[in-house]
Amino acid sequence: MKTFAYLLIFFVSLNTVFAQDSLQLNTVAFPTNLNIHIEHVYDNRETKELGEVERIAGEKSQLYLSGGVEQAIQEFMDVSLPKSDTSTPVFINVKHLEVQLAQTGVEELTARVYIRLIFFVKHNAQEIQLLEIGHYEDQLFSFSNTSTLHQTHEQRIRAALEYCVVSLMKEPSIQNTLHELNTIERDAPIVNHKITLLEQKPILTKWFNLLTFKKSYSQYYEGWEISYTGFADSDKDFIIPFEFSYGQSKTKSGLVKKEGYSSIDTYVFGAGANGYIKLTPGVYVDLGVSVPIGVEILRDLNNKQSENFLIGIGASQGIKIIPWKDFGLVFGASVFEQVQSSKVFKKDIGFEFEIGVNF
Amino acid sequence: MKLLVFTRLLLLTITPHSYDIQHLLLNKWKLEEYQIDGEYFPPSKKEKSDFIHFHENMSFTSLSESKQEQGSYLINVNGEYIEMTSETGEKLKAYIVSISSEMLVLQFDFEEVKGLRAYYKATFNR
Repeated sequence: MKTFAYLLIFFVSLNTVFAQDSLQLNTVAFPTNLNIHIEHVYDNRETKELGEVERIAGEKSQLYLSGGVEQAIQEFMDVSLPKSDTSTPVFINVKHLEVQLAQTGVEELTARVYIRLIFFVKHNAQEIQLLEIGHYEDQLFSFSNTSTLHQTHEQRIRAALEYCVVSLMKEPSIQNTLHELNTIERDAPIVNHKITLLEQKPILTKWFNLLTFKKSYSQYYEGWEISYTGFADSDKDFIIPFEFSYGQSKTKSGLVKKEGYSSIDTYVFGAGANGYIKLTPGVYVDLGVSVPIGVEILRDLNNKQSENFLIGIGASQGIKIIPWKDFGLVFGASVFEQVQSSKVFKKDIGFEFEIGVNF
Repeated sequence: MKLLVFTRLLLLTITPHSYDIQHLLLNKWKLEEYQIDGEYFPPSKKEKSDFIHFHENMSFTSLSESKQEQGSYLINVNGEYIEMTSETGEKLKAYIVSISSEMLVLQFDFEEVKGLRAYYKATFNR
């Protein structure tokens, strides 16, 4: 078993280190009304790879642009912004270009390209910034339709590049600067508008799948529950997980007779909601509310049966610990309180322990 | 309905490129039907008059469930989508599944419904 685990770790590491994938950026022309050409592209990114994505289940690969970012973007731009005798030379500084892929829903993946470019011109040996733009290209894929996903990373890079150029076209002050450059005298100063358009989106977060077993103990009941919980991690927002579960609980032995009944059966449908607040990576406060509705069937010691409508309200406060974010054990503990219209057990208080796996 | 089925089949074979999209899009598109998970639905009573009108100056006007909207739009040829920005700054991305002079199919990823396809019919003959 140990040898198998070592082998598994070895192969996973091999994939992580050595799998590389080169994307060929196609050159599809798009319409512009700009009389500019891209004189040079400077790759000033801190990280030179585009990102790490999972191509096949369990196999991750590092993405690169074939020919390098400078050459690939230059060739792409040349098709739509060809150099002519009258075109203004514009330079591009690539600050960020990243491909991301993450599960963002129960049956949903989001593929994203994030790009941050600075377009600038040179005048009197000075760099005049036309536009700094940060843009995201997101596309959703269902798990049943991921066969073409990998090929589309390249398309989203093209879409992001086109979006940046179109934004350049839409800013009137940029058009004015470009016009000024062509008409102004060589030594005359030019106004630097420094337009910045940065879209702010949270980083695509990790999706957690949890399969857990809960054991609960309260004043009157003992129970168990098996749950599936899925949620997208968030550092800031209140996390509302997707959850379904099945469980059973029974009255503690001896208590029913003590209350003057031979048996008490409860049939309850529970409606409720849970939410998590992230304290630190892997540690979450787990808060819940529930409204159980049902019926209580009581049989006294003379075997006489009576029914009682049951409605209640419950709350729980706990902590969930997920030490390993990709795969591993999950632990949880919580306390819960409940008031209900029961003839016998009107108030209840208890605690739960939870253990499971995240995958 | 038979005519619509025929148009649908025909659309599969039409994939206009780059500059054509801009030209073809300039029309008033009336909502004909929806497609969700492969099933087709007619517009509800409220949506019967829904349309999108793309103008040459890159502005649009639309009617959606009796609510009129206007704003600007851009076409992303490489991403094969239209981005519509309303006057309030709200952005809506619609993927162009197919376009011809008579029919436009857009795909939307709304929060409630992902992958909704809307079939529009051209109002003007071009």
